[in-house]
Amino acid sequence: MLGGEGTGEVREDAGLPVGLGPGRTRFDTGAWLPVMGASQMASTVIGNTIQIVGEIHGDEDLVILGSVQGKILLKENVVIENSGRVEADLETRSISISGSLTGNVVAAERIEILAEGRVSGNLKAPRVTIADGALFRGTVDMER
Amino acid sequence: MTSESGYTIGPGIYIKGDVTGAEDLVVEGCIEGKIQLKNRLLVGQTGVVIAEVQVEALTVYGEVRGNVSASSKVEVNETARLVGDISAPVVYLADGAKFRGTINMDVPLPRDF
Repeated sequence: MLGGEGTGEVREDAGLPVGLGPGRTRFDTGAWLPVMGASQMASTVIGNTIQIVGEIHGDEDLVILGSVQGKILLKENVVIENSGRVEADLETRSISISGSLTGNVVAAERIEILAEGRVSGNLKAPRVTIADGALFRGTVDMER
Repeated sequence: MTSESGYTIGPGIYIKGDVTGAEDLVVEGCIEGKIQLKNRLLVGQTGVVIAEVQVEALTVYGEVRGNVSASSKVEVNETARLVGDISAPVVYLADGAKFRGTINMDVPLPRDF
């Protein structure tokens, strides 16, 4: 948006949007952005006041601002934002947590607990990061 | 009352279970179970809802199977398929919409859940 619309050279920057969907979600987590931005699919957002009890399956990115209890099986990426509360077992490609999560996580690529994240459960992924300030209780398994 | 958000459950997402909330929701994916919203529900063209639906207002462009209860309005548009009973004070059935079920407009005007 910053560049002039006439110049074709700026186009590569346009591939890194501020949010994933049609301008509805903001991501303050800079490190995560390029990874998420790479997937051009519109993501699904579970809004602040939404509560889901049950299972979520899918093959697109999922951003959770509300509450989910049950099970999440996703071929793409999950983001649990600050306000997100998840009590579920997760199987996903990668996950970034800045909300609260209780449950076991298996990720094909990476698990990232950000500074505000609160996680209780067992993590299994080839790459796991826990930021300074994050709360975590459970086991970590990085073996492939 | 009206939240400015209206997040979309994308076409690649399948939810089985109960969905409750107090904001608008757009469904382009699939929800099976029960939906209870204080606000509006929009089922897009690719959306499939197999659920008991209790909302303020429902707008359908896709498919809904299940009984629908809305406190203000149900709108079944041209591309929609709806199988189930509708209970709402205002019901709009568009030309071309596929519908099977009963319609009951004998409900009191907006009330809280």
